[in-house]
Amino acid sequence: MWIVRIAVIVVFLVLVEIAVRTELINPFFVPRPSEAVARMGTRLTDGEFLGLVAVTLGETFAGFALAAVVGMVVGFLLWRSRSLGDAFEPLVAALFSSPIVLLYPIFLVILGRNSTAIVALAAVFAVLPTILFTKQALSAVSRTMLNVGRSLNLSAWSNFRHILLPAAAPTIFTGLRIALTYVLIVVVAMEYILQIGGLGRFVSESSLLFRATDLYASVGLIVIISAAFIWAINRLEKLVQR
Amino acid sequence: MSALQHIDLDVRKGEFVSVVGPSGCGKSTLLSTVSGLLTGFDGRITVRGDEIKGPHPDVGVVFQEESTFPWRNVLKNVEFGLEMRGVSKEERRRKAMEILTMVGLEDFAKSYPGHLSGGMKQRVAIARTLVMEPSILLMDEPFGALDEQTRIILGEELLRIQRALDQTVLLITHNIQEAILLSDRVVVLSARPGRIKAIVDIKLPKQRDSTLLATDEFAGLVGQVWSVLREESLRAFAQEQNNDEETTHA
Amino acid sequence: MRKTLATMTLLTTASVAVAGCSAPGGNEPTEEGETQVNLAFSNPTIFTTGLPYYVATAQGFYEEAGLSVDATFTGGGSETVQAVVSGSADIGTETSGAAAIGAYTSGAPIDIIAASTTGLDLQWFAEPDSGLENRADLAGKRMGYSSTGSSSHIGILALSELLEAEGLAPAQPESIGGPPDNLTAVQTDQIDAGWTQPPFFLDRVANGELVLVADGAEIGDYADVAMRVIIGNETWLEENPETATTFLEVHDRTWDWIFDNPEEAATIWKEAADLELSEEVLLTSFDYYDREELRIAPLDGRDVLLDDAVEFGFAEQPLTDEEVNDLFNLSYLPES
Repeated sequence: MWIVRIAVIVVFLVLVEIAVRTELINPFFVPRPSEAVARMGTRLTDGEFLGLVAVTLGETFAGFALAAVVGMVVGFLLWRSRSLGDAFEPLVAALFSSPIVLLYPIFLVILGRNSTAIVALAAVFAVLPTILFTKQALSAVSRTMLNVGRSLNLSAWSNFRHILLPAAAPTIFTGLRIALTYVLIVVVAMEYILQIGGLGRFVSESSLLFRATDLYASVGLIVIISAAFIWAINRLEKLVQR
Repeated sequence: MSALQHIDLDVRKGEFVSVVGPSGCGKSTLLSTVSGLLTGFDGRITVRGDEIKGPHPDVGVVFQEESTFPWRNVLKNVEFGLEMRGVSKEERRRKAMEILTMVGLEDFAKSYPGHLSGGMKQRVAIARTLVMEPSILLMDEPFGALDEQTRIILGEELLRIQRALDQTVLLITHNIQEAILLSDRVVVLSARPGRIKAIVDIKLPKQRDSTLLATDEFAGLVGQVWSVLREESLRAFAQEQNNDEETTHA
Repeated sequence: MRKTLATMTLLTTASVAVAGCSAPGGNEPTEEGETQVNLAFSNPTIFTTGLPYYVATAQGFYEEAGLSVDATFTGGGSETVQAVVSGSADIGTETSGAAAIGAYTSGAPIDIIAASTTGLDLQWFAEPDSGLENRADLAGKRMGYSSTGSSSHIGILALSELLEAEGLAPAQPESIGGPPDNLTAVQTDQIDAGWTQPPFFLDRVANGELVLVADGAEIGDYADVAMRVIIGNETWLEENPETATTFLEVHDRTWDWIFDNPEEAATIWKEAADLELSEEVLLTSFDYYDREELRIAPLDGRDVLLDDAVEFGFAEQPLTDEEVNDLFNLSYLPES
């Protein structure tokens, strides 16, 4: 299956390469994919650039870890306490569908123009789907499955670890994948808009300085990072369901 | 209004007893109390003279097919209880395979429930309980979601295993034929609040199979149980309609 | 699928940034027989950027000359160049020379056709309790600019060079936006010093709310350099040379009118840009600017611009003479 996926990407890149070489697409706007890929390679041996990658990775990881831990704990509490859940779930859902990202100036004022503000904004944005999906995942675990554990006189922890968690995991992980996507979007977009931090700033500068090859090389790298994070989450999901 | 009233029932060792009753009469509540999953009721439930205050190690509960764990393969589903009890890997593997052979699933040990039919999943659920070697089996509509043929075949298998292991079984069902085919006695509950309306002795041979379904004797027993159940079912039906109207008027 | 969403978002961001492969064609006359000109410039409330456009529009100068001018406001610096490169604007005014040179070296089809502002008319302000008093105090401090490649960006880079030559730490440039954004950022401690152009915030300096820390005049030798220039899309210029000349002629004539009629100009400015400042304060602009700084020609200080473009990393290598002649195309200037 992944061979097909890679083939699709390669075919697409080859078509773009041909279009650029024949100047069907203006090479000023779109560099040859071969150049962009080669540039990605040279950039990855460039210490300064790797520093930018590290900043973006660090912000993404921190934002995601924060959103995941807080989101799952809050989701669990909303599930445990029916009254809390009834009171807060609609609020969380409403926030989820609102453009919180527009609040970024407030984060800058409170936390300063730095990575902390980016991480905080990303985490706030991503914690909402984590909460909602965690709560819904736990609520959807069938009573029958939980009764299996009870009939075996399992401890609360065993029940949680071996029945509740693996049963809820697929939905929780759907939430986590959405959260990760949000974190990455917010981190890169904020870096881009504010021109602080890592790869987002590099993309913005490359664009403002008309360095199309660097621009597409760094965007390509961001896509690869995103795919790597999703892969890591999928691994983690498999680990939980054991 | 309480779900059950004045229930006084003794089940002998090695006996197969089914409970039938109109819908909503408290059959499932009865099983929950016996299994120790439901507490806080008036009365006593004892196993060999010991009062039950929670799930009892000698009592195994067979849940419906959706109780199988989709994240574990068949073997690991069956091993679950033993694993939680800290039984060694070799030991639990041996026991689980033994039971899987008994229910005819030895070739599906590595399959995941998502890839199995409803009947096969129900066998997994049964095997998961049997592997714990409970002397008493409690079952709440275990075949409820299955088609007619599957439930008859599975019922026969269950009977065979029960005889082989000399287990005591309490089965909740809404299917009269199933109750009669499998049981030594059939308990008929009344409409809500559930009381014991009648206990019908099933005087069929110990070794029996589904060919009995076609006999006059079987038809007679069905008629006998149904005549009691029909009256209660009509009452339950009327109760439901009243409730509906009350809700509508409220 | 979600991964794709993230990718799409990023790609969209990227393609918006360098979008629009379509080269602009010849502009069709409008219904009234006027020729359409799409203009791009940044921070429209400012004296040097928005004012000539507002006045020429209000006084009907464009119309008289047979032009119908639409303006797009950008974030400054390279963003104006992007608008022109992509063809969404035909002409960009008040864009930094260094950004235009940098874009040209990357292959951008643009010409620099006239000067826009000569000299560096920027000032950096801070809060009184910041302890910042003069240029040297800005060593290692966070300083705001509008956008990459803008003259406010160049100003900080030039200042940093000076500081480093004096053995001090360079300033940290932060991309903030126009003067109002810089004021907010300074007040909320996101940066230490922000940029402005007269007369904005000078009233606050007068009443002690802000202090001026550095002035463009003390940063580098830019007094005779066309720090900001007028650029055009090469294809559009080739197809509409007369329209380009007409536009420049009207632009220059509008400045004449502004300096001849400062009160009226201030009234138009206040209204069109929806400013809170009083006309009295707006009029003080004329204390800071003289007519000569806003001439479209001669375009002085090309060597400085070319050096800065390389020095500050906007161009990867120096331009050849041939490239310089191609980029600086003064053939569209009106004869006078």
